Amino acid sequence: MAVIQKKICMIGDFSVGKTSLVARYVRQSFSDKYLTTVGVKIDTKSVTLPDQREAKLVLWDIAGADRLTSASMSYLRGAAGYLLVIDGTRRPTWDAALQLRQEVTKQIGEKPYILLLNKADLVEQWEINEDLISSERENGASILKTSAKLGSGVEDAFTLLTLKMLDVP
Amino acid sequence: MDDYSNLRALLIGEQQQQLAHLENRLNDPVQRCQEISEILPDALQRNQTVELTSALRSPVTQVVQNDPKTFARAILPVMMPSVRNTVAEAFKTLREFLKEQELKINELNKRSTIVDKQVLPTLQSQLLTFEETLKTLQSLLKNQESQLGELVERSTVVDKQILPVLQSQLKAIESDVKTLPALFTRLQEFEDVRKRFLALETRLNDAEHQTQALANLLPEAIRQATEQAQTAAMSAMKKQAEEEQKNEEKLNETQPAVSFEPDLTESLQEPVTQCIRKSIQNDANVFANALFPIMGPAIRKSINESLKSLVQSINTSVEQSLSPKGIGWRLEALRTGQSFADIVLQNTVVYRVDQVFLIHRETGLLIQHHHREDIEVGDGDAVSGMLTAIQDFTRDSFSSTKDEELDSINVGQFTVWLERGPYAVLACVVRGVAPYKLRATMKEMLEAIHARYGRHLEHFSGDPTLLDGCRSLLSKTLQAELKPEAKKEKKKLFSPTLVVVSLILLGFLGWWSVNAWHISYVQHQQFNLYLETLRQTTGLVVIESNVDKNILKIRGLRDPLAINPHEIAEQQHLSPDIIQAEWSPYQTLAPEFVLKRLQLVLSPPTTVQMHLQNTQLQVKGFADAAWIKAFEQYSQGLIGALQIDSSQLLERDAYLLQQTKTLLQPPPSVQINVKNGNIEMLGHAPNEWLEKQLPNLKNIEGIQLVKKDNLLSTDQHLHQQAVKILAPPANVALQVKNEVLFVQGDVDTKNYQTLIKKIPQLQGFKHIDHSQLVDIETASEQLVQKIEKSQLYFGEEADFVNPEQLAALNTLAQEIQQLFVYNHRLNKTMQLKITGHTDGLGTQRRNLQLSEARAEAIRDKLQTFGLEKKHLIIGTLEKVPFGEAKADLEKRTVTFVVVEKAS
Repeated sequence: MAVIQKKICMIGDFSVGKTSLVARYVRQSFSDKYLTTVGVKIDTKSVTLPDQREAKLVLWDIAGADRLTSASMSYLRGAAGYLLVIDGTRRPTWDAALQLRQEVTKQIGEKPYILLLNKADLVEQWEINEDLISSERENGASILKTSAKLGSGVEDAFTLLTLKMLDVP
Repeated sequence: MDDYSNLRALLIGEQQQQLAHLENRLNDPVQRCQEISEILPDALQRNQTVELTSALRSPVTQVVQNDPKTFARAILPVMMPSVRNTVAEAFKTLREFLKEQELKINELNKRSTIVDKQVLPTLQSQLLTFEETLKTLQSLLKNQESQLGELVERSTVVDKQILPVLQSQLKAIESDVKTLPALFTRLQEFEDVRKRFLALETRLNDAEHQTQALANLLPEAIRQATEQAQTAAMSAMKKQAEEEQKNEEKLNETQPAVSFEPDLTESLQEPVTQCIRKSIQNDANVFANALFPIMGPAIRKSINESLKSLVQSINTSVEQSLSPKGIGWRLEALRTGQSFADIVLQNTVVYRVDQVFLIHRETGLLIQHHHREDIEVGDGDAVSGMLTAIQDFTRDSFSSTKDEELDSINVGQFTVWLERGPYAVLACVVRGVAPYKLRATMKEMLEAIHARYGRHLEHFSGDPTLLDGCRSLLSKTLQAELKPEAKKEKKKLFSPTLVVVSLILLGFLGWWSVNAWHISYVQHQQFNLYLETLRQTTGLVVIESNVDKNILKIRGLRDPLAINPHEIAEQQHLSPDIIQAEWSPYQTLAPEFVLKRLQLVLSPPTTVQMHLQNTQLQVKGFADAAWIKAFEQYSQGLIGALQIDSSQLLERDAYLLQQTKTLLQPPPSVQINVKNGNIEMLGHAPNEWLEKQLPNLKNIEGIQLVKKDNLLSTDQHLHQQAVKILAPPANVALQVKNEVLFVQGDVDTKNYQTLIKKIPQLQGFKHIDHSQLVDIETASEQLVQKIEKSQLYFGEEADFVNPEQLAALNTLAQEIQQLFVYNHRLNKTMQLKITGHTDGLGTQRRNLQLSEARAEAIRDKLQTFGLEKKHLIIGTLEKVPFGEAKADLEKRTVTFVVVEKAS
């Protein structure tokens, strides 16, 4: 069976952990050191889905921002899906994510995406409460809690997104 | 009336116009072409059926035959790797194809019937509607005519009633009546129109005519459509390029509008593919014949090319690693820390395309990635994405109008050239200085890819296998150009300032170049071939070989019986001067050598055959005792044969005896003795064996002399035996036929009894027939008794009393004859005395006469039966009866007595 390639974008405010999530997912590594991403960084990862289908994910780790820049707009082009990353400890990143989602939809249309509430290892510092999450869930959003540091939820997030993308023609 | 005629003129005029328009449309081929070409792609796409395929088959086949080169070139790169597979699979799938084809034909039939059933009725119903409309029009006309009549009637009524009032009106009506002829002409026109309608109808109805017309128009239409598609594609490409330069947002909007895709090609692709496939299934020969002249040379060429490049790369690597330049490069590699291969490439290559990426423009996903075998490549997908991102980044960052694009990236000795199409980006990673023509090649490539895979590219969903067909195209971009070779550099060495040094260097260089020349590919190949031949020669074992100073040194083992390696070298035109071989003797156990050795040592006679199979030596045939002894002694220590089967090896006489017995299958009565190759045969055998089997003796080789004097036929043998045992008198004949003894002859009683007594002593006969051996002494006595008992009876006179007496006389005559024969044999002379008798009636005299008359009558009759008169005598009656009153029929007779004639 042919290996299907899919482009995935990591979107979110700066310092929410997009690069760390990619590093965790692709290289099983984590670093506390913060290096801001300039422009975009690209990684690839082959996934075998539970139903034995295979896909190759091309991960576009786009520089974080609370609004879409013209550069990041062109990076979005052709994305089959995206991960909208939120830093659970910073409420503004939540608002930025919702804003970004609108802009992205305007740019590339409705595409599968997952809201990732990152930094689940620092849950005691979270500024986002469950009410907020459940109300967004009721609006139809898929929301996962992840920790790039511990690795929890990371694999699931990418697999889930891949499944969503492959089921959308 | 005016209104009416106007109305009618209007009605008819409009219809005429419409008709004329319709006719024009139908008759104007240009317009029809236009129309058909507009709908054709759609129609073809919708109608991707077997029907279309079969309709297109012959024109497409024609096209392929007319210009097979184009097809072959297109097919070849794809075919090359799969040719082998295809050949293997073709046979396998041939049967399946045939079945499939049958199914397709069935389907075709079904479909054609469906067309007959479904389309024709529609046409017919449309026609009917037409006809009905016409009828309605006609009835309308009639109606109007009748109304006109009515109107006239009414006008007359009006005329009569209010004549004065309506006179003016009448005049008007009269003028109206004048216009009637005009009306008639209109009617006439209407009928003309109707005829044209009918003609149109028939043309529409005539499906064959339509098909014919379409067939006439189709080529033109396809050509037009192709041209349109091409111009559309061209303009789309141009437009696209222009649009791109405006800005990104606009591009996004215009993209869906730019449908530069060649519709016709797309539409035709499937049916043409199908029809080519089917044509090939139906008659692969046409294609094979058309393609072969191009493919054959192309395949040959490609093999030659790869061989050539192999030779070249070997040559260059050998030369480079051994030449002074090469040493310099090695030093450079050491100094700079780069790999030697990189340095070599830098110095020998003007440019070389190392990698080619075909990238989906929108997603940045990698569609195809081609690279040279000898380079290391990273994660192509990431590179592809990053290249896309870089383009986006540079455009966004540096181009104020956002319509300028990144064309090339320089990284050290590498240049990445980027070329964009509407849906895909082609990126070439070039080492060295790329020529401008590479750019052109890239553009052509990209256009070709877009033309072929435009649709797939537009809707690329991440599955690169759909675009595997691009591979062959992309591989063409992996071009390279080498620097013009060392000649110029050699010239530099002849610099006058370095005369002395260069003389020394020249010597050195000369040695090097001679060396390099010697160890050229050809010689390597020759050496390799020679070594390979040696390895494959039985009796030769190459233990080690190496080439030292252009001399092939071989150390190995050689069976003295093996072919001389020098001969092999001579056959391969290798000079013995460049080969140093050291062969140690050994003995190979290869069967042919074991046999050869045996033959050499024992020199077996030609009558001995030896076979060695799986360590079993089988020896057959015959030889003299001395050789067999020698063989037995030698074979005890024989290496190379574990089992020796000499059961069929015989000493010559034994062999000959065995062969004779096997071949002739002699009966046990034949004894065969063989001595010194001479065969003696004794005994006896049936004639059949003597005639059929014995001649086979000449088929046995090695027989010196055959002595078969003492070999009798069984009958002869039995005859001999019978003669010996019976010792028959001269007048007894013995005859043996098929082992049956016949004893014949007339003998006296004494001899007869002797013979009969001896007969049981005879053995080996199937049967002994002595029915023809007669004891004539006894036989004649018996005959005499029989004859003398015989009586013949008469009537009153000398006539027989009844006819039976004559038959009795006949029998008697034969017996008498036989008796006389016996007597003759026994040397006796006998006579038959015939005596007549009478009864007592009449006188004595009369009776005496009667008796004599009766005896004479018999004598006469016997004479007529062949008896000689001298043997017949008439006896006299001693006592003649007379004077009796009663007739005694019993006494009216003749009696016989056999008497010995006194000599």
